Amino acid sequence: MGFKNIKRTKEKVELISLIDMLFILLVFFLVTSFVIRLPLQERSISIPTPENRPGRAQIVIQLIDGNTVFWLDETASAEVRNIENRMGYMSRSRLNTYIVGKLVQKYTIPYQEFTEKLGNLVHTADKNPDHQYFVMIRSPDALPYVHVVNVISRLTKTSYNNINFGCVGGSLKDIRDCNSIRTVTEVDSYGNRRNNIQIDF
Amino acid sequence: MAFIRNQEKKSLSLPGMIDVIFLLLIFSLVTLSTSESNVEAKKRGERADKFDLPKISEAETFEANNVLTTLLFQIEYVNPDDTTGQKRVLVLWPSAGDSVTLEQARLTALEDYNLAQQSGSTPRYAADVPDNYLSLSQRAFERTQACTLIRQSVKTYVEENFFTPSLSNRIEIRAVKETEFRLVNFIMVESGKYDKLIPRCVFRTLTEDM
Amino acid sequence: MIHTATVEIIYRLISDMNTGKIIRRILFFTVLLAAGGLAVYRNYEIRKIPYEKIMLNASEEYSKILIPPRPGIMGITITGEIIRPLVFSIIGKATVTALDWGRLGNRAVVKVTATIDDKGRVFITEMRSGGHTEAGLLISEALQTWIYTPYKTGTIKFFFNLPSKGRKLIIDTSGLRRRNDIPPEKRVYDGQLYYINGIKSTDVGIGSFL
Repeated sequence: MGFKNIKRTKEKVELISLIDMLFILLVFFLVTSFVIRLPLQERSISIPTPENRPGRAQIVIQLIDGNTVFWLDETASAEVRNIENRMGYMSRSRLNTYIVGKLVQKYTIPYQEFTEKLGNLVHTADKNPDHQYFVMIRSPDALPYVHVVNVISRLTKTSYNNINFGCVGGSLKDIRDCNSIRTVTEVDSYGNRRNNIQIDF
Repeated sequence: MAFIRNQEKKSLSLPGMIDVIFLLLIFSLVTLSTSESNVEAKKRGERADKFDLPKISEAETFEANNVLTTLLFQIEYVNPDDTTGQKRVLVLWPSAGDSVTLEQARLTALEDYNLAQQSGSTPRYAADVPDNYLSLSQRAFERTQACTLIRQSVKTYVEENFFTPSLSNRIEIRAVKETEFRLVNFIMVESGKYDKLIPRCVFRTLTEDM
Repeated sequence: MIHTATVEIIYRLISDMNTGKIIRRILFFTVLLAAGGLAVYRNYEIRKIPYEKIMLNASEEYSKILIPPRPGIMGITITGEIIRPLVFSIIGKATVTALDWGRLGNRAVVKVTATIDDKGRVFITEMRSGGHTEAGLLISEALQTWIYTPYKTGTIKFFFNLPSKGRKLIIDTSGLRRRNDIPPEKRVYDGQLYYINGIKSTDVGIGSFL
């Protein structure tokens, strides 16, 4: 009696369907590796309410329209000081007008440059986590509030949340028509003497 | 004798195809799964991004609840298809048990507005913003029906709910993105008048989420 | 386990091909590399996404309620630059040469009058060294290389009196004046006014000549 040599057929892997499966897996991993954009979601953004007291800021952003912005920061105080020293003979009202005119001429920037400055500010804030920055955003009445929200959205994207902001209503005309704009020497909380710009409306 | 090589004809097998189909199914389910807002929007019967809120892509934002948890001022177009037309301020009140949704409160406000229009009385939860409100003086603007409603609503809500300064005290603003800053600023200024009771306002925005 | 199964499948797949051994080997490693690279890239992209956002069921929203300082509306004070005091002193440059006190000897008496210009450079206008020519030469060679910060200009006098039992070097700064273009609110202090190696600070006096 001879035993039949049962030859087991070697099971072959189905080539085509396996390639299909591999490609499907490939596509699946590719898709999940990229950022999946879900539909827009409604979210909330928090903005402090204004207070009836003198305002203080390191940077004042006066939105003029959708295309230009008036940006005043600590470098402006040297300019104002310089004008006060040179033009001290002028009457107060004329000096105000002259100072504001010079500042508007020098510190009004197009929106693209403003966006870059915002980016630089965020970058600086990230490099100095111990510093607290306060930005005052002023918007004219007629400007859609989306412009303010856009500015705020850039300012909140810091690593250490050290940029504080506030938004108030106001226009460039209010600054031009202010009662006085001058420098005052004050000592800050760290004991440093600073030449601050004071604008009284 | 010549041997003829018996070449097997390769054919697609059924189990393999079923595997592929199941894979495709799982893939579709995972990647095309509906987001939370879409589910809720579908329940509401509308798309989530239909209300023209400001769109921001990079910001520190928080979850916006559909259920009202605080006083919310909604500024929308009287005619949704006319984005240059008149705007309306709706005052959406939350319920004591935090069970009223935004849409429910809105419908309540609109019903009240329509009834008031019919009866000639002053609506309690909605007011139209005059077209020329930007050119009004500050005093005239504050005397408009919309501003009066905002002022009274904030006052009432503060008296009933905010007793001590707290981080959670807030007023929400949900306005179409083209709303002029004057109106939004008025709400913020009114909220800020109560010493430290309302330290912040919350703006609703649309954000692309990951 | 999935990875080994995948490698196994690819291996068996390629083994069954009717191609040369080298080609099969190349194909196998190419496919393996491609799959490996894809897996690494996928892991890298997924790591960039915050954990909360890749969860299918977002349980709790992490909310940070941060109340920033509130803006004031009564006027604005914009922070200016820090007023840093200015220090009038020798600038540490490579071209500045130190005077070697030991080489002057014990008996040198030298009076030097120099002017400092608006760039801080020193120009010797008068030197009285008596019989101490060598000491005078050493002093003038060193002094001419000194550069001061450009905050003061005018006349400066050096009185080297090495035999003295008191001050061996007196520096008269009464002839120096602060520059006119420096804003009045900026203070100018005197810093290091000499660059001499081997001298004790108790041997130096800064004041006026008798």
